[in-house]
Amino acid sequence: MAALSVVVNPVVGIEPPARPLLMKGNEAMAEAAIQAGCDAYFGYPITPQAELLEWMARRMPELGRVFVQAESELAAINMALGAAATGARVLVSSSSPGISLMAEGMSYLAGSELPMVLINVMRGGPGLGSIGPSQSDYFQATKGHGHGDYRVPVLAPSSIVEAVALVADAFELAERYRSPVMILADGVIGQAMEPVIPTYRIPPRNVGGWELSGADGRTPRVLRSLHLQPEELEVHNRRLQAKFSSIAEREVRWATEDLDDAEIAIVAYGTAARVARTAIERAREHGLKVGLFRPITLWPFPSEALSEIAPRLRAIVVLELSAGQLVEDVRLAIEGRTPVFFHGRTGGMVPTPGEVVDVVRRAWALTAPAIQRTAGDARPARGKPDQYRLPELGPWAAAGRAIPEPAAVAEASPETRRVIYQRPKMLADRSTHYCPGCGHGIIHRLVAELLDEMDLGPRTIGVASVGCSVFAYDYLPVDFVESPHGRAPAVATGVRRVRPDAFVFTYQGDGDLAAIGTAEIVHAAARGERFSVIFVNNGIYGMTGGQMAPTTLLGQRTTSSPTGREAASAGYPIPITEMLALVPGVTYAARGSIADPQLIGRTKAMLRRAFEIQLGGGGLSIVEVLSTCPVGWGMTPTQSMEHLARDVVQTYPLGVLVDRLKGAGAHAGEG
Amino acid sequence: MVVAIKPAATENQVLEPFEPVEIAQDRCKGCGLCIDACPKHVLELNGAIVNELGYHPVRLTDAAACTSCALCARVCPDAVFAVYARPRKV
Repeated sequence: MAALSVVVNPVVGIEPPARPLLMKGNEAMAEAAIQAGCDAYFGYPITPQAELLEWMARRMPELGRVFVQAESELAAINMALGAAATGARVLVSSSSPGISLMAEGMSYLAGSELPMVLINVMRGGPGLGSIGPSQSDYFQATKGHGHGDYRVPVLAPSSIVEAVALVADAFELAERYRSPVMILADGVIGQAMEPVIPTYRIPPRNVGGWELSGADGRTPRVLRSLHLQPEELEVHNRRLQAKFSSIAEREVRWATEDLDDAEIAIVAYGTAARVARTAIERAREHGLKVGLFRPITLWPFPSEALSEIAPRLRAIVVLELSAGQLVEDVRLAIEGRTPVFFHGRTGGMVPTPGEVVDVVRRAWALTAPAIQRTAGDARPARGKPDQYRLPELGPWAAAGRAIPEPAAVAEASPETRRVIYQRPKMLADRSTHYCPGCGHGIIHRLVAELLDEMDLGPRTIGVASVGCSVFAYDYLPVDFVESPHGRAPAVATGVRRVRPDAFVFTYQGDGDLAAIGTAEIVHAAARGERFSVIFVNNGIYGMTGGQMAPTTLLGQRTTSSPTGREAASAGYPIPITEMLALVPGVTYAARGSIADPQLIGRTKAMLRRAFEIQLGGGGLSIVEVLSTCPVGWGMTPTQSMEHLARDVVQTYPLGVLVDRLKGAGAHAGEG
Repeated sequence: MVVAIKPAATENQVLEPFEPVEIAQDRCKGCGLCIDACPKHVLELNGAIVNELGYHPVRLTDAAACTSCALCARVCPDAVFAVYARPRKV
């Protein structure tokens, strides 16, 4: 237990404040984040954390920092992902149901190793539950939250003063370990008002060498969680596990009170620990020697510390505002050496000190003093966690996968060889994974040509989506962040808001943009976000094997509409670009095609216009590019181009749908 | 690894060493879109070669007939073409 840091409770009832401020927990945590140098906040209203969002809504713009009220918790966490990818210090907050929606984003943040602080002001569950205080998200917070093998540090304040301190600590941990960090508070901590003298702290900035800033004069960086090769993913996972081991070794925190002579320890965190403290005072008045063991990090859980004191206790009482979650980690740590009792209230109810004293009395009556028990305990010494640790495969900090520099373009011999066309420099010198005749290759090339011609490469941050084009970052050698399915516009919002000088684009397919990501694109449009959307519509889910997409034509056969799409059961193709064109925040919306060289040229002109509008300060610019999926359509490349030219345009007419800066010139939107 | 090949020589090309088109042969997937786009019909898939991706790559059949219009390059999903202007006769 060499590197453990024992934190003596800094909390409640200790320092008599010289000039106390009466602060609500939610507001105090918000201000603590601001004072800790938080650059950007993304949130969505939910009780009982709404004051946190409201505080940020007022304070962040005052300070010239970023505040966005997202259209959903899904969007909020992905905005955070985008902002975090640029190295910004980012805070997100929500309460239990919203935290469930954020599980996806947390998994991606953990997989992409991005620092961010998430505050969960827990309320009663499951489902919508109640808005009363609860600790029923302990499992969710400590056992992984989203899918995949990962952990995030979880800090549990039990007072407002401590919450203020932990917010700064959370930012520091997040950056130190390139990991999301959760603060697990509850409705009491969030809603209670206490006189506090907050101790603000600005943790030193600890971001460098991986953040996206535009690959100006350096190798482009890609922040992603996708590693399709099992061998590669295992290496990544082992590195992550080594990091988690390192966190578990170094960052465990807990506090103890009145444990020196105690025969019973109450184990509790957060609000439950406050109730326990009052119960302990009363129990001691009755001659029961009771103390408090309070985990501050719920993950890593202070197992060793608890296991060391357990043998001299006659019993342990676990107190929670849940049906029993923390108690499982306590039992794992104790390994049966000390009897464990549990008392919990759920649904927003808070146990009274009297209830707790009753439980302590019962535990006392049912157990023998520790000395009688340990004599018969022949259990072998507990193994050190080190022996289970996976071997180190390299420093975890060396993340961020670099794409090789594009090979120098061969010098054409001068004079006789005037170049009419050459592979663009911004297209990586490698062959793509796309099928023969796939339109993605053409559209990638158009983007690369424009990045070349407009000299945008060094300031570009691309946002990759999910689908065949997720690997766009392998072919366009610019900084890229990969987003969860459909969330690219939210991720791009985050990037844009903290990087006003960057050139930002998303590259999304129709399944990604027009189905799972409909909310994100509509709300990015409504906000008039200043980035460009390249929306590749081939009317099918290509990567998963050619299923029906929201854009699939009526009558079109796919693997999930084997007899052809019928409006009666599967609805109509969604004209999403027309819908977006209605929104005032969309400065430019157009639909092009790649069916022949002339149309490809027109599409390139549309993309150029979209990019110029972004550079000129206009709102969202989107170019839908009608494309092909020869394999998914069951056609040859030639047939698919003919189908695109003849049939697809009947449903999706080509042209500029809106140009709100028309006639005003490329840079007219400036300022 | 062949990165680019010279266009196949034909009778029409006797006094014409100029190569209007360079093809990154090992990146071609043989989709044939360039063949459809070529107004001079001087592109074809080379059935004599299987490249390292497993496809018959495209080749230029008649360099002299090529006008360097670059439509092949504009439609190519794999950016295999580099196109050069024919030197002006002095």
